[in-house]
Amino acid sequence: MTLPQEERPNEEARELAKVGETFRPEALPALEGEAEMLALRQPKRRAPKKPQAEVLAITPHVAPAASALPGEPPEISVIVPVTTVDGRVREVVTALSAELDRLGRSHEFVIVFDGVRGAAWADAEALSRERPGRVLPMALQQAFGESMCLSAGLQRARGRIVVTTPQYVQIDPFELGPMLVAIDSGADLVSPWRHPRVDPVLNRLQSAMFNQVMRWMLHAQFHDLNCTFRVMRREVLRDVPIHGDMYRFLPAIAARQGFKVVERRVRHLKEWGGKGFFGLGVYGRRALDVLGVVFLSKFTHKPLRFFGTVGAVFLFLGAVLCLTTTVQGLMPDGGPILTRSLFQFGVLLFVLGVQVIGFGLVGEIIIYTQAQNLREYRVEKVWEAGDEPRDGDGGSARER
Amino acid sequence: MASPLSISVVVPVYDEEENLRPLQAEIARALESLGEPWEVVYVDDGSRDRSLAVLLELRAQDRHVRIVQFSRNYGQTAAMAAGFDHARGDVVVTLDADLQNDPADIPALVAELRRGHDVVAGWRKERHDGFVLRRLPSLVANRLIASVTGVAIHDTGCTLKAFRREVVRNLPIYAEQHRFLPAMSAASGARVSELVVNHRPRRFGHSKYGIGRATRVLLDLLSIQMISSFSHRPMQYFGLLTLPFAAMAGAFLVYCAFQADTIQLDNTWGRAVLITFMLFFMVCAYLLMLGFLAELAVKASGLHGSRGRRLIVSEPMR
Repeated sequence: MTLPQEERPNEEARELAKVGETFRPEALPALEGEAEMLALRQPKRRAPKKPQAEVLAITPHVAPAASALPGEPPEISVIVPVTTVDGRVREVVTALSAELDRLGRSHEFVIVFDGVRGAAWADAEALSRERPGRVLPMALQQAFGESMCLSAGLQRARGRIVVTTPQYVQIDPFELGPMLVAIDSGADLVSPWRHPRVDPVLNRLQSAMFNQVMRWMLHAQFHDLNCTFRVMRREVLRDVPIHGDMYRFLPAIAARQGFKVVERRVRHLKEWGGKGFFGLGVYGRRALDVLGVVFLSKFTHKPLRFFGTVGAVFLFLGAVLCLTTTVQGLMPDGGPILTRSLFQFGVLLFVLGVQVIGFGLVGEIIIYTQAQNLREYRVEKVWEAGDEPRDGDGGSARER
Repeated sequence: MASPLSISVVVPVYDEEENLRPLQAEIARALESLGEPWEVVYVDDGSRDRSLAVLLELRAQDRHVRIVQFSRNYGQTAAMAAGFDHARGDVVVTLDADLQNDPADIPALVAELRRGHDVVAGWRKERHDGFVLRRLPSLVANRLIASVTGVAIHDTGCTLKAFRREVVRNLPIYAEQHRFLPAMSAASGARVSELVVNHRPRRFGHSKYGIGRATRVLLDLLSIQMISSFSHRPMQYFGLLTLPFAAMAGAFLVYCAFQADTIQLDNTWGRAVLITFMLFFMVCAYLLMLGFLAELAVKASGLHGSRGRRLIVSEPMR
């Protein structure tokens, strides 16, 4: 869905409900009481069966715009999704802010905790006290995944440029400078390519396989999609719809949507927390994600072309099987062949084919009903007659 | 509705650097002869050659030129949709940039439109393309489209078409369905006409089409047929689809009833009859259920009822 934020109030309300609370020690004194209340309630939150309604009632609901950090909006917002309790928040903030200070770029950090707290949360609290107005920790009520962290963080981020980074320092912070230069010279998103890698062979192998599969299926020429240290214009994160594990494919999806994505080779410092083999479940989920992304990027506007082709193959095979077994069965010496399962298999294939084509028809209807909102192109620039060019619309659906 | 512009020409451009200058000259000649305010909207569909540079030069020379630049190649349909979105004239004329369409036909198309039609499609009666690869598939496709949609247009693939602005404003165009625009507009009440237009052999560049479109056109046709006539009552469409299967299931049931004493389940023939009956029955039940699902989808989108058809109300042209 490429609807802009303004056009989906429900979405925003849901988002608000998910963004449980925002820690704001530097805010108005009236709010400090609430912060204490939250601190008191913390053990209760960890209880296995928490009454959702009560949590929502106590949680301070603040409008996204109002709850951002005070002061002038900085140029760069760094969004740090924290997914485990041992995320090295302090390390990341210290390293990146030192480099951004050196480059003379104003910046802020939005640290989004994905339903976890622990030592990392304490660190983030301390950081926001040490660097007033520069660090904003916020927590989602449950684990919603990194994609949701990024969208939640984006709501509070004010910078023109958004940097996303993993919860530990993986890339030499010095690489930020060249990546920002690439943005300044016209790129919409800069994707890193860790080369040479410093992780164990197994990690490198599976990463290479993942990238190879992505290259086959999306025709996306990226060497390294697994590294989430990315620099992008704000519009990219705003207009590219991501959910679930799709943050991984952000450069590929953004490129398909028409954003200018460049890849830069960066220095890989160290791997952290990598276990090597992640378990079958992780690989299974990732494979399904790839399938979903490929399907959506190729067939969103023409579902029948996908379902129709697949269904026609089944239908054809089923019809051929049914016919041949029937013909054989009618032969004087071929009697028993009909009792074999081949005929039944043909029947099943036939029904399956009809079903799959039927899915495609329903898909077409769904897409047709939404066609006014789904625009499939992104305008770079409009050159009006005689006037100065104006920028493209960033793919928003408003004009249609 | 007094719009300052009366004619917008929409030209999707993809790698056509040599053709653009002569094209612009011909368009200008054709439209100046009408003596009405006009514009050309070139949609640069992510060209990799110098097309955009040429367009920018043309824009500097001619104040009628507007350019919409895509950030990558999205295909001809998207380019047309963008052109429709940005066009400001009362009449929108679409045209290929390859010079095979003759811009000199535009005044005739516009005149035909003003005679009381909403869509006028060009008909390349004498085509200058290869027969086996281009004309034969096109002939078959056009016959099929005409018989399925009930809108008898000889040449749906011709890009040279003229539309009243309200028509294209109201039609969602997506996928590669620009060739179905006349049929889709006819389904929402537009009066469609056609006119023989000139067709010239290609001078520069090369064709961007291949024969691979055939299966896609077939599948698109299926969806267009459904959407143009059943988009707000999908249950009826799926109901129609079940009819042949229901008839077969009924026939088998009757057969079983009459032969009840001779059919035995341990007999191969009896088993085959039973399985075939099951097949038809399952397909029926399944399609009916899908019909309900489709009704739900339409209901959820709010397209049911009066808003379902964005009817085109005809009003006299200026």
